[in-house]
Amino acid sequence: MERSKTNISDETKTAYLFNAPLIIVAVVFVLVPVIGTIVTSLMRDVTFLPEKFLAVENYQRLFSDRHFYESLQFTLLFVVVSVSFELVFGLAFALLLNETLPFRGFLRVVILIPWVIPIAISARVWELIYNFNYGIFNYIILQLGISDQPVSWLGSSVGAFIAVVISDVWKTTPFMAIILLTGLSAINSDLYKQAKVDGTNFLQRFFMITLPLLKPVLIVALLFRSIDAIRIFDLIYVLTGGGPGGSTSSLSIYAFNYYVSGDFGYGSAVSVIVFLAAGLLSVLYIKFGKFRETLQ
Amino acid sequence: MIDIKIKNVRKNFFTVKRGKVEALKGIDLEIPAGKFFVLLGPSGCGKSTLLNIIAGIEKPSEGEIYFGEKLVASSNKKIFLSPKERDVAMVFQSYALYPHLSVYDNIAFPLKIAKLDKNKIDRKVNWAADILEIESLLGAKPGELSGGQRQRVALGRAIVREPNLLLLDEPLSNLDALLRITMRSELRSIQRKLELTTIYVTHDQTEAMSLGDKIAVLKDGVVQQIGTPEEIYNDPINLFVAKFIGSPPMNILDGKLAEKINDKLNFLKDKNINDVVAGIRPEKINIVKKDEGVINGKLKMTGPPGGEPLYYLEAEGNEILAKSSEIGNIKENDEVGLKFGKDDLLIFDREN
Amino acid sequence: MREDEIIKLLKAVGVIFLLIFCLFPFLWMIFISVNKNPDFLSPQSEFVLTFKNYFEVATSNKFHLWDYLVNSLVVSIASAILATFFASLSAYSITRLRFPGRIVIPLILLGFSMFPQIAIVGYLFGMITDFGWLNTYAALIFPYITLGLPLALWIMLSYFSQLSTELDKAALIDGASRLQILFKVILPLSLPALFSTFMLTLIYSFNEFLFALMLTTDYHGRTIPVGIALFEGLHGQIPWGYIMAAAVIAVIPVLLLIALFQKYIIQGLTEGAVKG
Repeated sequence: MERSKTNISDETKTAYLFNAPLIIVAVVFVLVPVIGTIVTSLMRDVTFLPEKFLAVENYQRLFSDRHFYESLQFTLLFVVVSVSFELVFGLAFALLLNETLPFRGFLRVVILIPWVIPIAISARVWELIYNFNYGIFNYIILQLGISDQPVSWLGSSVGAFIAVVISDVWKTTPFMAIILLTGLSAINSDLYKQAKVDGTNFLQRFFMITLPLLKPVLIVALLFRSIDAIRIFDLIYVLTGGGPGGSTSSLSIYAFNYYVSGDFGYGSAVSVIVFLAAGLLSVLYIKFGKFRETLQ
Repeated sequence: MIDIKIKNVRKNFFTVKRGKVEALKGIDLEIPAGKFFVLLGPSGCGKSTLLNIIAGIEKPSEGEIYFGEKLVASSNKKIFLSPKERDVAMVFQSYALYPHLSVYDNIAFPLKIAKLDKNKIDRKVNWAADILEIESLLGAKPGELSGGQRQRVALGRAIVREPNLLLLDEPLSNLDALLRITMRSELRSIQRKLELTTIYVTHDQTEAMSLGDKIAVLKDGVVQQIGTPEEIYNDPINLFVAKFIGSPPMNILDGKLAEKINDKLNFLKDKNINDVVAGIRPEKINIVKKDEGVINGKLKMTGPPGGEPLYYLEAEGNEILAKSSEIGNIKENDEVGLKFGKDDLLIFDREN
Repeated sequence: MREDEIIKLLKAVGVIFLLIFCLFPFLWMIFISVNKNPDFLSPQSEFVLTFKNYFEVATSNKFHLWDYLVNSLVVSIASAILATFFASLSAYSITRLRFPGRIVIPLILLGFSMFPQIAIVGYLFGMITDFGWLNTYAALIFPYITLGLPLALWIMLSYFSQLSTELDKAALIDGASRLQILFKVILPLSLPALFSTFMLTLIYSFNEFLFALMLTTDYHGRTIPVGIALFEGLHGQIPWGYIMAAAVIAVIPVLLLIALFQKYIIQGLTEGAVKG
């Protein structure tokens, strides 16, 4: 209750001075570009053509654009599939690392490796792994006799989807595992002892103690990863370039291609859709993340 | 040496949950130069807020504060001097030593901020260390020190600047019982030696009684009584002060007013006589044979052996504690008489 | 089988799976980088150990490996230092001072971090071009500060709020200004948090791709992820050996960071992303 409070105007002045660098950088390099993008999405902004205010014409074009719907569909499917696998693997790794293991410190370094390697770099390794002629995936498939034909990973739309999901799950599972690990270590270990005394087996303990108590962290991690996945760009740009035939073109890739071709107005309209989708999830994330509470 | 005047200081907080909270409701105090002044009260009474306002860490919502003739805070004139400009020093309950700095650097910190030259800093730090007998600790980090040693370092950091005013916020409450008593007397002698005007905040009435030249008792943001320890002990102004001061606490008896024995009861003129209670300090009660005292009672229990003789009695529906030295051969559950002078009986308005 | 035996088995399987899962692509990268024939799995080829790939990418000036790496390090270190510094200033005021916006600033910033980069980069490209910053360090340093800033702010916030405000009061009484308190008292006590923040923002910037792709044009400004992503052979044949060797060199800095400071990185990640 008894908070320190010096001269009100001085204190406020000091506070704003201290916040000025952060606010200025965030406004100039985040807020202004985002507002700029929204404004641009209402314009005809094409290289070599005069700018013109179009109001919602770009959006009308968007909603009658078959490729946009394909892109939207791919993106949503990717988010659901990818995040689900991450959750399963992430939870498994978190449970594992929460146990007493030999070399646990080493394992914690190992699990960070996929996360810390720039995705653009690891995507090139995956590109090689998926290679039709001499990639190791096809080598294993042929050697084990799973199929007598090599799989066209990056040349077919189904193959490319699976390839993108595998690489993304590899890259982001560590993050999920680390977040869930903190949640796990916050669970009172006496609960497990009590449950053991009560005669439960480990599956019962998992479903009756771990899962319910981990739920808040699980929701937050899920939202955080979904926000990230819905914006996916780097991996797809390097691995498939959105191909074959636009089948792995995420919304970000789709918008980017319009930027590159000089149609900033339409590209911006697509970007605004990504922005809205991520924004919706962000509101939930900030709500469930209990960030406000920690500030009080 | 400087005297402090506090005029009608108010402090309001605004919280989301409770709206406006009045922490201080018009405080008037005069703190004489060179004296040891204690602000005493239960937790939440506003004493720490008042101390922070005197220090210049918090701003009063209303009122004025003078350091000598100098106005250091005034809500009307929009004056609010910083702690630096007021030249005050403060010791905190947690000591608030900078954990990353050595004892020497902790004590030197205010001097370095004031940009004193190196030799002068060195001389002053050694002077303070000498007074507090911590010369051997100057190289240590706070983390390596015991509670008592940290206390000395915090005190050293406060006196090294030879401030106008020394403020102490419950500085002894983190020490164990024995150390608290030795530090108490040491604190007192250092204060006398340096003749520092000192304001000491505590909730511990024993500490207040043994340290203070003057005590102000606070409750709910209002000063209840100001006086020397003797005045406050012998002549508490109301029931709250009477109950708060003294260990073991004063006995409070329900009763009816039968006769008026002195002028202390003037405040009762307009009151219904049923609204009064009587208070009597345990040491004013003598236990005598049945029917030889003012009232009769029954001995329920005697206090622990070895300590001061304490007796728990029951008389006319009241529980009474007595600190009588001679009781003769009386056992528990015996009927006894309770004897006390009528002047020792204090009458209070029950409402206040 | 008894329950503790099942658990033991599950653990063993789990550890092996985790090692394969996490390490395989990384080890494959190293394996190919020391291989003369990247197509050695096809019947007409074979494995031949060589370090020529490393020698080539490190010495030939047509790959610009060192240019990219230096660009990456300069840009990410500069943005990490600035983000950590800005976040400290702000976190200090939020945890110590009362002012309108105290609650809103960190929440809004958190919201900013959720903005898709694609919704920023199009317009930002125009702005950076107008500033005349295209293909310079500044083009990336400033956007990268914003990238790491929300995480940095939240790490510093949760650390600062654990430090007693009595220290601040003591320093105020000792005559220090707010800036002096931050630099002489609070920051020296916050070295672990500063370190976490610095490393995480560094990793974020080092890994960034889209801004670097859009806002730089050649080896004067281009960072290593973009450099390696755009690495193509001259005649349609992809030089896998060179690419993998360059990739191994490129990830050494970040691998060193996690090997040495795993604890700080995990701490920072969890503090910044999830509360309660």
